[in-house]
Amino acid sequence: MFLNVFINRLKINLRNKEAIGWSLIFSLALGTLFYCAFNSIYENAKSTEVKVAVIESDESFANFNMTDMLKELEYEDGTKMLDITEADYDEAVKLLKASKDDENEIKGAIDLRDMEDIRLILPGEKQVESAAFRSSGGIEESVLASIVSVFRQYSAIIVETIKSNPANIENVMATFEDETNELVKSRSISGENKDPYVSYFYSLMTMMAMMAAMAGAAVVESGQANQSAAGARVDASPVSKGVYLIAGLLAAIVVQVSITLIGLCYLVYGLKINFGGDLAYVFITAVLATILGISLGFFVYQFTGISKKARENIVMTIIIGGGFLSGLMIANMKTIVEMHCPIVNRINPSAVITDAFYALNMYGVGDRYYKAMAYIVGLTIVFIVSGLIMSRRKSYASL
Amino acid sequence: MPNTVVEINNLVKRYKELIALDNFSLKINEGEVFGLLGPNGSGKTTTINCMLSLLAYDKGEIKLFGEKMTPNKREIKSKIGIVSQNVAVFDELTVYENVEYFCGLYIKDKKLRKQYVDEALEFVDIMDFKKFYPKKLSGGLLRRLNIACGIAHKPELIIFDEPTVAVDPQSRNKILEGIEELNKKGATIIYTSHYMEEVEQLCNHILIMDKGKKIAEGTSDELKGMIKNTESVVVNVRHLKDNAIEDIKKLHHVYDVKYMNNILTIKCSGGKHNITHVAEYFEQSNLDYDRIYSELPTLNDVFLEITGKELRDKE
Ligand SMILES: Nc1ncnc2c1ncn2[C@@H]1O[C@H](COP(=O)(O)OP(=O)(O)OP(=O)(O)O)[C@@H](O)[C@H]1O
Ligand SMILES: [Mg+2]
Repeated sequence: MFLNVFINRLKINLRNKEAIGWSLIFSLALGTLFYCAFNSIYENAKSTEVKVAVIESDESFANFNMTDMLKELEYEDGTKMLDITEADYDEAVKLLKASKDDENEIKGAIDLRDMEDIRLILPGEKQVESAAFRSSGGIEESVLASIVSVFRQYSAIIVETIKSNPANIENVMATFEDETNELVKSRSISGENKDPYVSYFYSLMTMMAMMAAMAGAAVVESGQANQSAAGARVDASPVSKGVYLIAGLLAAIVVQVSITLIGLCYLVYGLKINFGGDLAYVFITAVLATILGISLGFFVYQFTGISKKARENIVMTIIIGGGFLSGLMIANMKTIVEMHCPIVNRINPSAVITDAFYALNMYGVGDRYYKAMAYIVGLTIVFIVSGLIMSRRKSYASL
Repeated sequence: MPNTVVEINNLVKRYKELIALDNFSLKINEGEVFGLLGPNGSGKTTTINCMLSLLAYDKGEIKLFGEKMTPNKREIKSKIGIVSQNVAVFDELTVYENVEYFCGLYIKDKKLRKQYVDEALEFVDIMDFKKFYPKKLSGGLLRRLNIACGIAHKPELIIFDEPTVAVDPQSRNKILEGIEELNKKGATIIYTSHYMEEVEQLCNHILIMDKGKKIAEGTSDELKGMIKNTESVVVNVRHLKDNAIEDIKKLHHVYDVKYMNNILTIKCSGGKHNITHVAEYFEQSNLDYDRIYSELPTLNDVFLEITGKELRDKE
């Protein structure tokens, strides 16, 4: 009986071309869309030299020249990050004024005159606190802002070290170099990937996994008398409810996981999106996330006291609303939630899944990743077990 | 004493304020073709769903095969076949796959199952369509598929809930013949319908219900014996005068006369030569008529006489 139900549910799932079509179109089309939108940004960040004026310092530290360091900064593909014009303050201000009218002029000036207070001057403004990262300022501005942020921090430390403990200057310089390397990597599409855009692809995978909820819902609908005429047949037959539902869930898992894998392969091998971390674990995460999605639909659809429409709305709200809270539309939404209401990030399936991808990328396979995966598996078990308990044979008040 | 297959006592089922079944009772013996006849909304489907423990009820007792029925009685469920009022099949599975799938919920053994599925498809005569998807079937074929899904596992008790709705007369006759055959092979049948002709033709035990209550029960003849009307003489005649109608009313055994649209309906109770008496009256009075014939009472007359309304709206 198990095999009979499994095989036929598999056929039913596979032949439901509409549902499969939508899931695939969703992931492939949205993936491509994200890719096109972000790729142009990547391209800029990767290969464009940012024109900048540097206002030199008169002071000189023991064989240490800031301007030379700035000149050496380059992207991983070998392109220089900065195209530097050396200038004094007045010339720099003139250039900045001109840049208002001329696209090809400098995008900012780095003021190195006071080593203890390095500043970034942007067109049309006086002086900006260097760390201020204005998202409105475009990619060039953000490159400058992050460079100045690092230089500002370290120059202060360097000055301090030279004054108090000159012997240690070598060590400080070494960490400074590490830090600038990090800076370069974070601006790059490949390698250890820590840029903010990949999070959109986590969200996309998460969304795709969560959409599998409808397949979990279908398992319940197909076997319950008050859900469908065929369900009445199943309910009136001697087949064990547990056997029926588990066989149905397995069939749904086989089909939905395949869909997820196709989508993920397209992103990874087709679009060459770098999810970071160990690829095998990225796939494992996607598979378990899909099973979580299925179990969510399976669970919600057990609440047969409310109308089908209401249940559908609940599932959609959890998928879309949860997706929103986990950062599908606004990248740092999850951080905001973490600050104000962390419990939501623990029980929102979308947040738990994005967190697993994120942890994998940022920290590799480790505690944080395992913790996220434990939440995924835990939620899945809770949903399926409660669903099975709720589904035990019963008579309904109305069919 | 034959075994009792179904016993329902004082069943009450409410949908919020509406009382769908009102102290409803019935008893069905092994081997019967039991007809549950009632107009739309009288509670036939509700009775069946309560019987199968799909529907919770407020009061009463239901025993199947001598045991109290509950949602967990899997041995009882395995002996029942259901042909539901709404076609219950999966659109994604072919005709063959549908029957096999539902049969597989009852029959574990693969070889036996295949044999049963083939027999069921032959029985309802849709073997030629076994690779078709339900969406491609005509209404009548779809009904036949629905039947095959309900009977393939060779149940001892088969419930047909209005299996002929929206089916052309040819398919309908096929279905009725099939049900008779299943009964001959030993199955007890429950047949619900609001078509009295079908019930009369098929069933050897009929229960008429209305508004969740039993109105009358017995064989077709017993039911007809319960009412005053034994024969209706119908005359097609134009321009009949009121005094003639008054005269006819005074004839022997006549208890009711109606004249509408040039059709005269004379209801008689008892007597053997009612049609002759009416014809003689017309001759003696020098009245012309087009046609005269006699109608025996139908279950509709039974229903009409007891409830004061038609079994179903004239189509
Ligand atoms: N789920 C429900 N909720 C509320 N009322 C219902 C429900 N199902 C049936 N009813 C009502 O219960 C009564 C009996 O319905 P039921 O379906 O049993 O009638 P039926 O004899 O099978 O009619 P039909 O010949 O139309 O199939 C009707 O008045 C119907 O409107
Ligand atoms: Mg009905």
